Amino acid sequence: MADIHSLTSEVTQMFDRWRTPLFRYLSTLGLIEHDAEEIIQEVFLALFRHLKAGKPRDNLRGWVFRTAHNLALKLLTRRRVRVTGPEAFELRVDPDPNPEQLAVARQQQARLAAVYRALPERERACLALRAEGFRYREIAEIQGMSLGSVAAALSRALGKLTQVEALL
Amino acid sequence: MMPHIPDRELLLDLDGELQRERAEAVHSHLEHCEFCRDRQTGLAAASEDFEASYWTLGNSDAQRSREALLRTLEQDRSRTARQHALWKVAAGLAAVVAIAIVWRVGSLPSETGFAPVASLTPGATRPISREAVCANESDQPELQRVANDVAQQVFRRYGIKSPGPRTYEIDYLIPPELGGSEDPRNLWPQPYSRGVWNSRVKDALEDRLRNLVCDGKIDLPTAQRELARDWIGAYKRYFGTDKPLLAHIAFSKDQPWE
Repeated sequence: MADIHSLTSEVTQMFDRWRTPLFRYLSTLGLIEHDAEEIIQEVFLALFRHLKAGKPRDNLRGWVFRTAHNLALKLLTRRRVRVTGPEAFELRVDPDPNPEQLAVARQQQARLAAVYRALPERERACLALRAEGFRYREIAEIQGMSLGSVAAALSRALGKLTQVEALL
Repeated sequence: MMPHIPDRELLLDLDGELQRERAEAVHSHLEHCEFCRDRQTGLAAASEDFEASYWTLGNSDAQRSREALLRTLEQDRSRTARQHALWKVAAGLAAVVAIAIVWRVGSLPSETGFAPVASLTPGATRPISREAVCANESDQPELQRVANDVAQQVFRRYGIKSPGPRTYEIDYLIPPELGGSEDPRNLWPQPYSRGVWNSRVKDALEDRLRNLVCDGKIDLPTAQRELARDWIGAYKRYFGTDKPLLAHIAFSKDQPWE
């Protein structure tokens, strides 16, 4: 049982590291908080069983995101939920901006948020995973697509974001 | 002059994902092409901007979530422990049941007594392609049960006057999945569970033959002939046994005739 206890502790540590990024990612796929939370629980239980069964340990962060991605798609398909993107899109601003900077930042944030929400799900997911620090190769694996498709989706998404920034 | 580099390649280059030869060609192009250089710089900057101002979702209750996970893991541990205990009991019971079945199978007559009569049921087929035979089960048309009047006709041919409910399966000698037709010459009354060589065992052989056809190991006419000529002999050869396997005695696919 000592092994099980150390495994529980190890999975809990991974949970502490990856839960928030995972929650953000699931939100980009259009899941509401309750569903995202449910999938997170399911993913870490699956991770616990995966490790208990002595299965491979390489790139567990990618494994966690890939499992969450697949569960989310299954849930969205089952419920026939139309993916609309996260409502609570919020960009970081300078911690102590002056009123003018704050107004500009808010305006920029609102425009970028609108563009981001309008992006196709795949482009949003690629951007989010990139922002979470994944390499293109890992994004491809998580989303079950080719490296070329990841680069193409990201170039389209960045192109659209750049156009908006140019207008600001 | 090399054409301009597409955006997706500029991005792949930034992540070091281009093949070495292609990467060298792209770098050489970038040295001379300000347009592509600017685009690559722009893409990198846009990506960095987005990452720097990455939105701050993740504001749900992380602590509550963590507690829920710990409860889930604890429940999983208890359930696994309970399952292990149950498996031990079940394994003991299964051993007793298996011994009982082996004893019973061994004591039963090995001849059928219920084999199709060749003159009454020589087998009949309909034209069907191998592709249709091997289509996914969900793509195959749902099988209709044998019509009642056809079933009564088959019973009459075999001299069975009042068949009890759930005792016979009006079986296809060559099953529809392998191109058998619903012709009385392809049908016979098979006891559902009486005897050793019953309909459940034949169902297992049919599944094996279908798999062999679909794996390209035998052709469809061969599978049909094996069933029509002597399905029990075929079963013995394909499963390498003189008696039905225990798993097949309990194998169930078709509904019994009522």
